[in-house]
Formats: sequence, structure tokens, C-alpha cells
Amino acid sequence: MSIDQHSFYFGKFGDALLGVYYPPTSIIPEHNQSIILCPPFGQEYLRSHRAFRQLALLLAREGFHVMRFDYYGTGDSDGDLESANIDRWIDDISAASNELINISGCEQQSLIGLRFGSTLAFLHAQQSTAQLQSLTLWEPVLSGVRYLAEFGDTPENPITNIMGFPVDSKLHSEISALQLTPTNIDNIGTINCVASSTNQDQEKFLQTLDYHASVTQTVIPIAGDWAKADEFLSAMLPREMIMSIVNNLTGATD
Amino acid sequence: MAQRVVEFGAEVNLVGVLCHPSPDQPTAEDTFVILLNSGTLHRVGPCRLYVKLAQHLANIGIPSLRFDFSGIGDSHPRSDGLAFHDYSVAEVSSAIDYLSNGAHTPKIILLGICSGADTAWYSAINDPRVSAVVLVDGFAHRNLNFYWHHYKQRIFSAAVWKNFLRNPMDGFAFLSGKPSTDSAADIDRAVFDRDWPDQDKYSAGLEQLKSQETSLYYVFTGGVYDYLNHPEQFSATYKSMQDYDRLSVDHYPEADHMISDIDTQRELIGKISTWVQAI
Repeated sequence: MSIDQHSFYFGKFGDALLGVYYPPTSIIPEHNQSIILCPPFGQEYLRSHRAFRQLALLLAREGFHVMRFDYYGTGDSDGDLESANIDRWIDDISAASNELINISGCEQQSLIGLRFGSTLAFLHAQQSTAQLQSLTLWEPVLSGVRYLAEFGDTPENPITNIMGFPVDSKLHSEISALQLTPTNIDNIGTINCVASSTNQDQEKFLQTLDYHASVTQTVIPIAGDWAKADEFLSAMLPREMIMSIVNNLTGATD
Repeated sequence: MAQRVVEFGAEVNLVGVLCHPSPDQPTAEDTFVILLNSGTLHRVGPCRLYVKLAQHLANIGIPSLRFDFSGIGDSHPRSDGLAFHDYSVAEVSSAIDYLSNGAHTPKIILLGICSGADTAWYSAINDPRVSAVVLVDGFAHRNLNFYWHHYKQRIFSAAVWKNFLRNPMDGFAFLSGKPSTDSAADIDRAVFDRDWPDQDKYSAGLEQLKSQETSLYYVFTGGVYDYLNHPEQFSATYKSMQDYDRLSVDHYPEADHMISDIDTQRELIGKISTWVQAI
């Protein structure tokens, strides 16, 4: 077994989720906390797999307990997308969070979510009573309608397939209804937003969040687009962004 | 269906997932399907196709292993600095060793898409323990019929004629529409570093697989139109395979290379499963 990662299934038989735990490879007492990585969905999940692995290894090197996982019906986890839904995925984040606390013994926890994973991480934090050290919103998706529109969805022609991944009418309605609102987040210590660009909606959202939590924003232009995969082998590995996320969590400066 | 993470290989660096039928399900006697990485995509496969296929196979009693080659997905890079082509074939044999019980090896069926199909093909040549291979967008060579189909399609294309009438000079160039001078193999070599054998070498390899009685199921999508564009091209190119009853070829001209259409995914999973069951 590899000493710097441990892959395993957790949860109920038939509904089991794949997790990959990265134990700390150095002892830094002030970094004694656990970090859950919340992946995006569909092709973006495939394209970000390498980036998530890199991020996990770098954070573990900085002394954090880190865990990646796949939501129900995605990646290596049990189930199929047709029977998945948003509430179930938010519950999956809770299950992964508990699993990592059990493994690491660290109740102090942070979450990092990429694209739709940041949406789910934010919703999880809003519904949770547990205190979060920090929440990193990496290229956040703030509006379900705009997210679906990136893949060609319109009210007249709702999509049923996001680049090879089925989206049935129920999941489509749930995603369409999502609009992140800056309420019930007093349990989050710091919110770090890391994005390749910004826009009015994002600025406004972060400004409102600022009333409730400490907010940082980092904009790092990158080549490529998470939502566009014209080659199924095109992984994205935005090193500067990954380093920025690590630095935010360690308190290091660039 | 039950899934379990496994780690194996000489350096115990290869990470995979065994997908088994549930204990209460009937299991196919002694068969294992091994799913091979496509390019740098990790073991879930394009559009999660490998996971869906593994789940479907488990539900009809057939276990499978999907794993990441060294340096891909969750598998750490090797320490010996070997080139991918050399170590990927060796790692398929490691996977077969892992699934073997002492001297006994189950019936091994390899499946790969794109560069995964290439590795499956080389592995079947290299390791006689491989009983069957499923090759999606694997190797094939152009023949005269390929060019006939290519130009025929252009001659009857309304868009080509519309363009020709609008601008005769440009239209002539478009009408001729030569397939790229770099063959698809050249393009793939540049992008994915596919190790494309020449036609003689490939034909000899097919002869070897025939003599080993290895079953072959080729699936070609419209994504490889640049080197295969009609269903009979494969058997017309490799004539000695025409009488080989362990060869099946299917053509999905409407499908793209990553098989993103959900209905095509379902159909393909069903066809592959049926073919595997019949082995």
C-alpha cells in the first residue's frame, strides 16, 4: 500500500462512495486540520482529476489530512447519474466529512470545491451546524441556470446530456433552481474565492458574503475552460491556481 | 454489485477497482474483463463509460478490473524510467498475474478505447493468457475503399456543391477534400503518442492472434473517420481475417470518439456485454 495515499470505499453496500485519503507527510502543528475536496461534475470531473490529486498531495505535504471523494453516481462511486440528486450529493459531502474526521481525528475542517463542487460545498456549509475553518470556492458556480447555459441549455431547449453525462429532467430542475445566497454562513471562518476571471455577480456575491465571514478573492487568468472539453484527454492543471489555494490555507504569501 | 479498491504491480503502485457481482448473483465461471486507460484519462473511462460497463457486467455475473497505469490517475509513476509503451504492456501482465490464482489464470478479456485499445492489442500479442480483446477505435489502415467512400460522400454533399457554385475555384479544392496528408495515425501520435504499427506489421499481429484463437471485437466510431469510414473497410484491408469466425466488427458512424451520446453508450454497453458473455 502506498504510504502517501489510501483509496477505499465507504458508506452503505450498494451506495458506497470512493474516497482517497492523503495523510500528512510532514508535522506542522498549526496545520492540524482536515480538508475535504469537492469535485465538479461530468467532463469537468474528468479534466480536474489530476489537479485534485496534485492539490491533495501538496496539502498533505503541508501537514493537512486531505480526502478526495466521488459523489454517488459519479467517478468510481456506486450508482448512476439517473438516480443521483443534489440533496444526495450534499449528504455525500457530510458523509465524506465524517469519514475524514474518523480517520484523522481532526474535527477542525475546511472544504475546497471546484466549479459545481463549490456550489455543493457552499450548500453543505449552509445546512451544516459544524464550524468550518475555511471554504474555498474555486471557479464557483453561483447560478444553476447560468451553469446549464454554458452547455447550451435554454428554456426552449433544455439539455439532457452534458457532454456525455445524462441530466434527466429532475436533476435539470434541481440544478436550474440553484442560486447561491449569502445567508446562514456564520459557521464559516474564511471564504476564499479563487477564479480565472470575475464578473458583477461574483463581485456582488462576495461583497455580501463579506458581512458574514472573512472573504478573500484571488483572480488568476488561466488557459483553457473547465466547461469546454473538445478532446476527452485534455486534463487541466492550473498550477498557479493550485499553489494559490495551498498558500491561502497555509497563510503563505506568493 | 460490489466494488473494492486493489493495489498491485511490482512496485505495488497500480491502483484499480475490482467490480464483482453481488454474493447472491450467479457469477460467470472464471472470466475477468480488464479495462485499460484511454490516454491520460483515469480508470473511469471517457464519459464514465468503464464504470457503467463494469456495473452492467457485474449485474450479469461478470467481474472486471479497471486500473490506472503508472503515472495516470491514482497510480504513482514508476521508478525505472521506462517508456509508456514498454511498461503499459508489462502492467497489463501484472494485472493478469494479480487476477490469477497460482498457476490458474481465468479467461482474460481486455477492453480499451483509443490508446487503451492499442495497449490491449499489444498486450494480446505479448501475453498468450489473453483470450479476447475489445478494441474501440483501435488501429486500422486505409484502403482503396476508404478513399472511394471519402470522395463519394463529398461528391454527393449538398454543402460541397453549394460552395462550388458560389466560388468554383474554392469549390474545386473543397470537392477534392483530400483526407489530411498527416494520417489520423500521425495526428494521434502527436497528441496521444499512439504507437501505430505499419500495415504489414499489423497484419502479422492479426495473424498471430488468429493462430492463438484470440477473439477480437472491433468497434469504430465516426470519431476516427479520418482512417476508417465504412463497416467493411476492416475486413477488406486485412483479407486473411475474412474467414476468422472469432472476429466481429461494428461501426457507429454517428458516434463521436468519446461516445458522448447516451443512447449510443447504452447500446455499446449492451453489445459489448453480450459479446463478452458469448466468449
